Amino acid sequence: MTTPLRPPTTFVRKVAGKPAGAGAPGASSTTTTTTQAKKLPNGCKISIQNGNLLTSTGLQDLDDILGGGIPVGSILMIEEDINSSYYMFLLKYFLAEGILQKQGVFFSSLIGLDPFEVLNKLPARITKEEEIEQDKQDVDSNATTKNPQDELKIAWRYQQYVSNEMSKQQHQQQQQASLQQNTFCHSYDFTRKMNVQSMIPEQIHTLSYSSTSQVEGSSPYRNLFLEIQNLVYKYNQEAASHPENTKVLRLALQSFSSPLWSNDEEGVIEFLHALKGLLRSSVSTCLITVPTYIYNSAFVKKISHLCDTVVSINSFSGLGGDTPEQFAEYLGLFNIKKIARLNTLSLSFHPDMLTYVFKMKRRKMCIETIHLPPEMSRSGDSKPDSSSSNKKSEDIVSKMKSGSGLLCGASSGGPAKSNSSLDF
Amino acid sequence: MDVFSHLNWYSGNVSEDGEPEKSIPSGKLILVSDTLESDGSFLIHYFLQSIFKSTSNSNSSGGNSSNRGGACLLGLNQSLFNYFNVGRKLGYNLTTENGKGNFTFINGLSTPYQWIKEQRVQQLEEQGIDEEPPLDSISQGFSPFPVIQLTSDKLNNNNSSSNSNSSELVDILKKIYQEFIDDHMKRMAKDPKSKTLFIIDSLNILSSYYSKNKSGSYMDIINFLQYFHTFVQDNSKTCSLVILFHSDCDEDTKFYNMLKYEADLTISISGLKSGYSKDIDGQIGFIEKDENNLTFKKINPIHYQALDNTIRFFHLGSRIQ
Repeated sequence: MTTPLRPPTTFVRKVAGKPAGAGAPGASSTTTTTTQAKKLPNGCKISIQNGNLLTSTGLQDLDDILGGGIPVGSILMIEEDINSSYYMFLLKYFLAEGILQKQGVFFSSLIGLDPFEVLNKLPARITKEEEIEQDKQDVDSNATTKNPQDELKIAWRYQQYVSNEMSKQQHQQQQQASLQQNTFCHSYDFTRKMNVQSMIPEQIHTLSYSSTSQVEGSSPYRNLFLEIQNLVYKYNQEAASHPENTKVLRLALQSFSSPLWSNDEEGVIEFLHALKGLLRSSVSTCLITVPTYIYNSAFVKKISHLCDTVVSINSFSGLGGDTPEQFAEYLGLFNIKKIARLNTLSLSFHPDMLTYVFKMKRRKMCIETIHLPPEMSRSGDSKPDSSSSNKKSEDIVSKMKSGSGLLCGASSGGPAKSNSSLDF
Repeated sequence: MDVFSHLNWYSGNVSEDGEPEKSIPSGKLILVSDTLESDGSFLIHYFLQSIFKSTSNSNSSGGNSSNRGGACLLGLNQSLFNYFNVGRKLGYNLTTENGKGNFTFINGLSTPYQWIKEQRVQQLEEQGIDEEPPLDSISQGFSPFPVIQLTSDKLNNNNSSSNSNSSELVDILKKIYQEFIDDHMKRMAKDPKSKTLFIIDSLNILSSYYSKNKSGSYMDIINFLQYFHTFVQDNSKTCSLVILFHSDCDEDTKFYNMLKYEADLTISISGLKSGYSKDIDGQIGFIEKDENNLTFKKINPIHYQALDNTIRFFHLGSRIQ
């Protein structure tokens, strides 16, 4: 536990590169080596920061943001975006990763979506070599993406540094590609569908609800809990009797606590409390997506307190405003609302910031840190604006430049709230 | 600096190394309120650490038994494994403390509701299985020493469950109260000078999650707290109560205000106003009730940072390295 504050990415690389035993110094190395000798379940790794067992979200960017992955036994909550459904991409990544890792997958949609509608449209796996190849093509066709030949507009002395970094990155990618026999996180291509035959039917569990199937009088959340409990117990039992062949179970609930399914608000809380207790001693992890914009903030906080990690995703178009000029290439914002404290005194991971931006490339979703382009002319900021949308976009940017607001991760959702006339 | 020196929490004794001995004051109801941005559970670990450290010190020194203490923890929010793991990093072992009779854990997280058991039994009956099969080692969870379960094992309540849901809350509160008192009695019987700290982590689950009575009143909880507060005051030399409460979970702050009014000391933990920071986790504010004239006094807030195996406290603006 020498340096808990180091960025997680460096840690990850070291482990991928070195064999077990040559890992980090100090107390953490003992746990790492002993458990690695025991062979971890499919698609799992040990967190270097706190020794928790992690499994991947299916999206490398998200794993990096969340300190390596989702801890087994925890609940990840995704706040759904308003008027768009980018959260579905995250959900599909999560499910696809479970299927490729031959883990158990449970999916239920609480807004009446047919589970197989979703499961049949999961993205196909794409290997690193293919990805690098296609990325190259993308770079060629798309001049705006970063490129070692790009010239820096300011601070040109660092040109050498940038190209060094880029070549280092590429080198690492190739190195990883050769290493990835035991991939922790796969890459996916949303332009192609996953081959349905590759799924193992015994390990895919779904639950669909129709209004008629619900029993009168009893809370539907209790019935749902019973189903999940049975499944979790089943996987626990298998893991306990065959420890060398442990399969992690992934639970995914879409639109959890949607009032269309049940308006039993106490039931939601009760369910989550019981689920947390169930998952804490299990080989399962759970992802729920919640349409939080329906509820008042107090109730959302109540739910969030019971989950371990809470993130939210929101698109600029869904929020109703125009995309700020500076973020033209991005689709929206990605926020961390709560960071887990699982078996740790401090936070399970220490991100540099809480707000990120995301975009959709042709095949995949990317979540990136916010970079502002250098200011080209000074008139931009002081020029008075008449149109309100323009004002709004500058508002976000000026806030970010002054270091308050968005960058520091004020939890109040940023751009949607900033239309008071007194805000500059 | 730390919370103890900031609040002047000293027992009056001097420990072996010449430092004044730190101790949590007894006879108090201490409310720890936190928000989503800054979790207050670190203070619970911090209190546990201070108890077990001073206990082991006084054990080694032998004669001075005035600072012997134990804790009774109701964990509704985290598993025992979590408390155990953090404890190991902070330098105390809950299993050994339990063996010495210093630590009792009430498990309020795994199968916290009666309906879960009822449903399971019902389901097994439908499948034609009479006896519930024993759980495997993973599902049983982490239990190096016996813990107290919140729900009773026997399923006698076909009558009582049909009564109303609010009665379940009353049952549970009674059970908690009873367990706390029993624990205190046991420790007193061993050593009449020993101190007990009762910890509830967190009250929210009790206050809103169990109470399904449509009148929406918090009366059961309020009664429970007042009753308990009186008990603590009656035994003002030997026990204290710490309650963790998430203050941002209700639009109506009536209950929170009532708690603050009832508490002798409110420790409110909030995030920094300027937002998230890697170097400082948040700010701790204190409001203390003066026993004599029942006025409330504000004490200067401090900043804190929870690290992997220690917690650092700073005066405002003094965080340099």
